[in-house]
Amino acid sequence: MSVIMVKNLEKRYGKMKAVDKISFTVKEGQIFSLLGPNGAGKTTTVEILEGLRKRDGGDVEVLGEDPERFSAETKRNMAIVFQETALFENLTVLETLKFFRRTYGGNVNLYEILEELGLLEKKRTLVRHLSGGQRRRLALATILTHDPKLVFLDEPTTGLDPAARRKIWEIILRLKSEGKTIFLTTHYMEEAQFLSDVVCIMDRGRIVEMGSPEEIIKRSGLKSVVKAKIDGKEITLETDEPEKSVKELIERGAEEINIRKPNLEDVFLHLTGRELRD
Amino acid sequence: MIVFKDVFLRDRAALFWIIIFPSLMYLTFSSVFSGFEKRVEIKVAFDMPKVFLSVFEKNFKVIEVKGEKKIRELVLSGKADCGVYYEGGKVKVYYGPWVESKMGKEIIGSILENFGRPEKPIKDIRFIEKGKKQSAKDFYFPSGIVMAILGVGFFGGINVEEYFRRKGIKKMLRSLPPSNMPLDLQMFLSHALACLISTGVLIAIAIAIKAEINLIHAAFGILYGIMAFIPLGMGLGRIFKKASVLVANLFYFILLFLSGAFFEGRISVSPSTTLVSILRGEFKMLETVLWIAVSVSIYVIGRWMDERNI
Repeated sequence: MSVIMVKNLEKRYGKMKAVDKISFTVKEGQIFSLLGPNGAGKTTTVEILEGLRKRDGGDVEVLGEDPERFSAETKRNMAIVFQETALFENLTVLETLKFFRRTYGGNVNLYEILEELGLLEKKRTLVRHLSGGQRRRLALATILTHDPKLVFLDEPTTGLDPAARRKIWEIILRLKSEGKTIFLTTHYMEEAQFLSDVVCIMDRGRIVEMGSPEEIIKRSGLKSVVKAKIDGKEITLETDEPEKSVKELIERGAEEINIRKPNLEDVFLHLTGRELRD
Repeated sequence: MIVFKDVFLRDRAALFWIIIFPSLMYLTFSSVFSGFEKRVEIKVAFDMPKVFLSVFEKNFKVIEVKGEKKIRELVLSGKADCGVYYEGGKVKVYYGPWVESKMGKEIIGSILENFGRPEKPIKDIRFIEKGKKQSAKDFYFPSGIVMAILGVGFFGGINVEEYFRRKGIKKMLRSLPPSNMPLDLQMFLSHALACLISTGVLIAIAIAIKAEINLIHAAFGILYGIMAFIPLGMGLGRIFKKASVLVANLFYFILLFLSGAFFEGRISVSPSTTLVSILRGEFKMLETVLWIAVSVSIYVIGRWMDERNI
């Protein structure tokens, strides 16, 4: 069942086409990642889906409704974590969660959520005194104050250290395990590759590739690169079957074998001639 | 209210601007200018034979009236610094305890004693003290109220709008299911409450230092200020978006200057002038309604522009 349906979506800012006739669907329970560099049109697309921006053309349905006319019920079935972790700076952690629980009409135990996200000790701390990672965790905790069917996460790990990023990934996977559909925007290819069922790569307002991370890499035709030294001579192989090549190289007495499999970053470079974080 | 808690109650800077700054300014102006009185021009209520008129007009701003009762009223209300009344060769000079009035009394005394000399001097001059002293603490009360309402309601209105937009809080709130109280109403009420706290503190200080204030005029002024300046701030914040802080500063000082709260010369066409007029007991219905309508219209335009641009 489709949770999000987008057909020929268009958005212009003056003469510039921020989103240029893109189409995709997101199925229930999927983690769908929208990947692209800054200015690719990701945020515009996601804001149209969230009902925060008007579109200039195309059809969009989110949870069966047009985002420009969301009912209160549909809004209750959605949760959004914004890029800026937009939270009231002068409320405490506990007050923030109480505010979201009240707004969504939830009935969960907030202390359990705080404990799960490692924020229990910070419950009386003002949001403005939290670290970047703690703020992101609090933003994710707001999702747990009710039971949304669809969760939008706009660059949830930007600016976090690897450990904090891993923690956020765990939470995202937990949400998926509960059957929630997750729409993720990110410019971290390893994040998209690790979490996503479907990745949609955007560049300059258009979709340049879409599918599971494995499918996308396979379709790109990019090969794995295996480097090794045999009798002091360095050799480089490009192959679709790196494991098989490694086995053969070992049999030939190769030393210092390095394998580099293509990733989404390589695919993006291959498709657009630009790096993802340009 | 979540907005009030976030923006005012828990923000030390906001508490400073709401309570401490206007109070400090009021007390500072009141004490620094404690010897400075309300008027620099001496106004004399005059009911004397025409022969005296030219010499009085050379020294004072003359208000010609009829009857001793009227003269007493004018001096008592402070609308005239002195009053002179002539009947049957006797002159009564009314004056008050404030500096201009005492200066006026001395000058009038001198004029009358020298008038008609040496042939027909005035023999019977009576000086009668009436009225209450109006000091700087009375005069700067409206200034404090204007500063509080412009600072908290208008300047705060623009700044909170800009802060919420910059932090993404407006977007976040728009994405939530509708609450019982729409965001704009919450913002208006939060600012109104902050204005009431700020002006309430000023009124308490004014009462404590025994300033002459009229609570009914103050209440009308505060109500008008809330209606005229909060929607104006919220509207301008939406119209000017990124430039709104600059606009806030510019309008704040212009409105403060135009109010005439600090200077004798007032510009008559300004919403802040109307506020000062109301606080001084000069209620002008048309102006009041007009400025509230202008403010609400600017808010509506700002809201429309905000909606159009999403």
